[in-house]
Amino acid sequence: MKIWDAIRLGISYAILAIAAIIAVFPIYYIVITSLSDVPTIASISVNSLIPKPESLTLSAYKGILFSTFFQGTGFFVWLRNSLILAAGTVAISVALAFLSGVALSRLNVPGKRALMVTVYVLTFFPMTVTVLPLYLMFASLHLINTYYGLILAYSSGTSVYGAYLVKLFVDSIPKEYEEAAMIDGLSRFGAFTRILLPLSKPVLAFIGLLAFMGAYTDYALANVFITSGDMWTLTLGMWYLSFTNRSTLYNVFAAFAVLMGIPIMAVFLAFQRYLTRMYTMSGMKG
Amino acid sequence: MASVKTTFFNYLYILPVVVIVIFLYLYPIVYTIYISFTNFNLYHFFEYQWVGLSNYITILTSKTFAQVLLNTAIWTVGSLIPMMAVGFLLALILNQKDLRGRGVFLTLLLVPWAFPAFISLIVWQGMWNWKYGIVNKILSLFGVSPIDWFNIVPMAWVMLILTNLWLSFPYYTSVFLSALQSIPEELYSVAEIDGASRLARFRYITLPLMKRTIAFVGIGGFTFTWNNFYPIYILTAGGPGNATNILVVYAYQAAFWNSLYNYAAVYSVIDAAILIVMAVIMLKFSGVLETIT
Amino acid sequence: MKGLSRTVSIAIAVVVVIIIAAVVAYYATRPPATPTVVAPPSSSSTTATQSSTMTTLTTQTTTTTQTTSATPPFSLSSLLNPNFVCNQLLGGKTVTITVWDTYGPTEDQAFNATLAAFQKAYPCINVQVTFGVSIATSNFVSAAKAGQAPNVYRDTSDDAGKLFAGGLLLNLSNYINPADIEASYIPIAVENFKLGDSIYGLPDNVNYIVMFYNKKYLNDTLTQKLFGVNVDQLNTDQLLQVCDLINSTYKVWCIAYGAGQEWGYRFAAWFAGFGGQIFDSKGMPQLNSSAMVEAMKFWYDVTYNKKLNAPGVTPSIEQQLFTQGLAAIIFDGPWDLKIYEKALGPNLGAAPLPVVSATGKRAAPFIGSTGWVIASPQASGASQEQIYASLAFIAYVTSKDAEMNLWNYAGDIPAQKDAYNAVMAQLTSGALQPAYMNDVYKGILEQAQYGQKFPNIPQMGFYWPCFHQYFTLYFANKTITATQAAQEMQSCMITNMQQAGLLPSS
Repeated sequence: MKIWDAIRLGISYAILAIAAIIAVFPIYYIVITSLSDVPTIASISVNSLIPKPESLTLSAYKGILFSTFFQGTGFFVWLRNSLILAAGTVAISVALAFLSGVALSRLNVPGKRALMVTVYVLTFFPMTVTVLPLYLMFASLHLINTYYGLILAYSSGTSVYGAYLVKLFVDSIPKEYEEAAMIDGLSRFGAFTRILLPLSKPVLAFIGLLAFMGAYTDYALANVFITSGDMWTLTLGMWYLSFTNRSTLYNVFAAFAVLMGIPIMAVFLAFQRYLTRMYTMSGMKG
Repeated sequence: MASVKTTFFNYLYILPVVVIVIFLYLYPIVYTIYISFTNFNLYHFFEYQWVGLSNYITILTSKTFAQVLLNTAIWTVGSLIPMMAVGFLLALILNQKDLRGRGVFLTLLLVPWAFPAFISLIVWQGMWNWKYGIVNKILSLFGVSPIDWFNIVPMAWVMLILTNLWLSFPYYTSVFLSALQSIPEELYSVAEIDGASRLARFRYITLPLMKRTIAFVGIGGFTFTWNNFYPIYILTAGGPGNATNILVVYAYQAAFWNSLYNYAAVYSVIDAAILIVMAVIMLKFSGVLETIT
Repeated sequence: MKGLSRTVSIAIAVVVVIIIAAVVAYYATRPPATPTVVAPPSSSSTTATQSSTMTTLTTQTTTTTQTTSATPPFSLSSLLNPNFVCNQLLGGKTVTITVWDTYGPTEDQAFNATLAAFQKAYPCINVQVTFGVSIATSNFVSAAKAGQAPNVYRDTSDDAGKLFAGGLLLNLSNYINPADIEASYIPIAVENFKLGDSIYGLPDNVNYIVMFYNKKYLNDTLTQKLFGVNVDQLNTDQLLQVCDLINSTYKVWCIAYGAGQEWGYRFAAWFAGFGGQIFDSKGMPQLNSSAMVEAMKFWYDVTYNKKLNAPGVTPSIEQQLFTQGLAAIIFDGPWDLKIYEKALGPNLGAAPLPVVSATGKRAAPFIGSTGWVIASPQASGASQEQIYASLAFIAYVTSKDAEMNLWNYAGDIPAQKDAYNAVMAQLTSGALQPAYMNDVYKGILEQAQYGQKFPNIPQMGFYWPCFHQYFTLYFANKTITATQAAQEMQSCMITNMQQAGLLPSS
């Protein structure tokens, strides 16, 4: 029995190690490209994977961080914009997802089943082509080139999907918890925020993470809804600096990717412990 | 009367989401459906006419449509099965009680998810190159002769599916892992005392309890992959020829390469219609509909 | 309870439908978002109020000016005269115009200098520049549909051609004396911005590909010894012979041309060299031709049978091979010159593409242009004053000084005649530093005589995807034959043109 356990664990570690190497490898590739002074991707030979120390340079990073472009904007302005958009999207998505998710799970909302199926089905429509009507609507509401407009657009997907996740999660929390609290004099809303909100932390963290990623890494919508340079996000700045005319400056691109990736990695690490706790419903319902 | 009043207040909770859905989903969709019945394109821009079903007839009878539809099915099913399998396997491995360093491994495995997908895709595009890509260089260490991933159609599919696997497995791993961890420990310990083997415990406890999660995650993954735009758009843009083109990418190209917004709309509507029908069937048969509503 | 919930859900459904209907109806019946639509003066459909304001304007100005007319079309020189624009055209008012700047980082330095000079010279025009809009024709289209396009925008001549055909751009021929434009810019650049008889943009550069080569492997001494000609006079037979030599002597690729990734921009040069043309005079595509078949076979042969061209390369790998001395020849444009100058230094050479031996014709790349255009009033909601101010702006940013700025900062080849001549004078006198760059630029400018017009009819938009789709299929291990590929390209274009309602009646 002991031997079998050892073999099982050995195989497990081997698989995990291989998977981890494959998972991290492209990122490593980006990092070494970002330290190269040639604007090309490091792909000539296997040897180039372990770069010689003297060929490394921080020039791409310096170019990005310490240059200003139109009217004094630069990397840090773009970073600020991206973070504002991401933070706004997280706040709105989490709030809306929690409110509607709890309502769908706990409250008597006649017709909710039809509503949920309808909404679920609407999200199947590919959004690549609906950008034009969305733009026309935003233009007539004066939401082009504003934070609100983009935050709203980013929040739509995650708050709808999030509402489902919250509903599933809250379904698995026994009703008695809030009922007891309400007998103790809490209002219904109070019961939701005081009892259910803390319990739902894992799933809300997960929704927040999705919202952050969606807003922070988006290029397609930002490219359409932001035209003015001082509103630019990191992804737009990256495009502007890396893809010029018909050539690509891969070292700039890679350095930008590293700079952009750091905040996401940080957020992911902070939220990771919630990721493994967001699903609780399956065990109960079977 | 009071109950009507509470019902009304109950609706207020979901009102914001309903408003968002109407403005950000319903209006653009209705507009797109409307456009699909007109001759609206860059050359009939400010003034355009209703043309009825003719756009639909043109597209549904075209050779390209059948091919692109088949490709979409290959892409979706071909991606989904390995993604779920790898995700589930890694989750099972990570869920072992006696495994050390779970946090470290999980962190590393989440990296593909934590990196902006379009950036990774641009890097992958370089890595798959026939002569100069690192994938073939590494394969050559094992004696495999270089493969022209982009230009040989079956290899292009392998490339797309493997890249998509790299992008997506962290999501499936973490979802499955959290579902596995929600299974009460006592069930296993009781079974162990009863002398059930590891396989039996998996067969009779884990699998039945995971069925709903697998179905729910699988259907979600199916609909997401069906409309997953970036991997194909960035890696092959549907090529060579149209051999790896899928409906969403084709719709995008109709709109932004050819400026034929009406045909792009038709492709989107057909894409959504097929997906809705399939999703509803899947929801019915899997019983997930009961879970989510 | 059950009954109640059903009624309520029906009620909600009804409310939702009503809301949707209201929203749809609002957008459908909404008056155009452009409150002050001004028809072009040449058009006969001006409304009563507009024509009256116009006549008052006209009478005012005719009494005050003697030398220049204040009714369109204006002369270019009058638009470049701030006094005339501010006092007569705009009547002393201050006018604000919106501009989308689509230059890249280095060109933006030149543009900023030009912009500062403009604002100093034209105090009556307040320019609101949106910086860093990457060239994004689709963004302009969306904004135009909403009636919120910028007054002034910059795009490539072919993409702008599509916009003009869709009615999104102003016909400049009605506003600026066409003879003036023809006289001020080099002919091919004017042609690029002309659809039918209408000019819709003022060019700010010309751009095209040339043959860059590494003099370590290929140089005049070598070709003189072998064939008695310089590199710029080679034909393809000679080039391939020399390539064989380079391959065997230095063990590097002779050519790095990623034909397998082609969208047809660079390939068009070879298609023309084999005697083909993309459109006939009526605008019908001519891709199903022996020229197309021969050109495709030629590159397949050079790549896979003769193994003189590096297979499976992308534009960025081409560059990598060339800059690291692993390939002798690359076909690219002056926009990447700085990269090559840095990597190769005095070894960098530039020459026109060779003569195709089979036909005796030069491979003729597209001579394209980018340039400044003005949105039509329907697209931007511009008033007449804004149009006039926009005219002054685009005249200024394509004037000699502005294009010299672009040349000095970014090395763009000017389209304005005086600027072009000034650049030529610099090169002939060897004024460029380092000195070897004079020869490089001479080679680049020599190519301009062997180019072809960059088609700007709207049908051109279908050429790229149709060519790409079937050429890649042919190049991918001959999944289809060259003849089939040419046929499929042709029918792909015809299908798209039919769908767009752009098929010329024969």
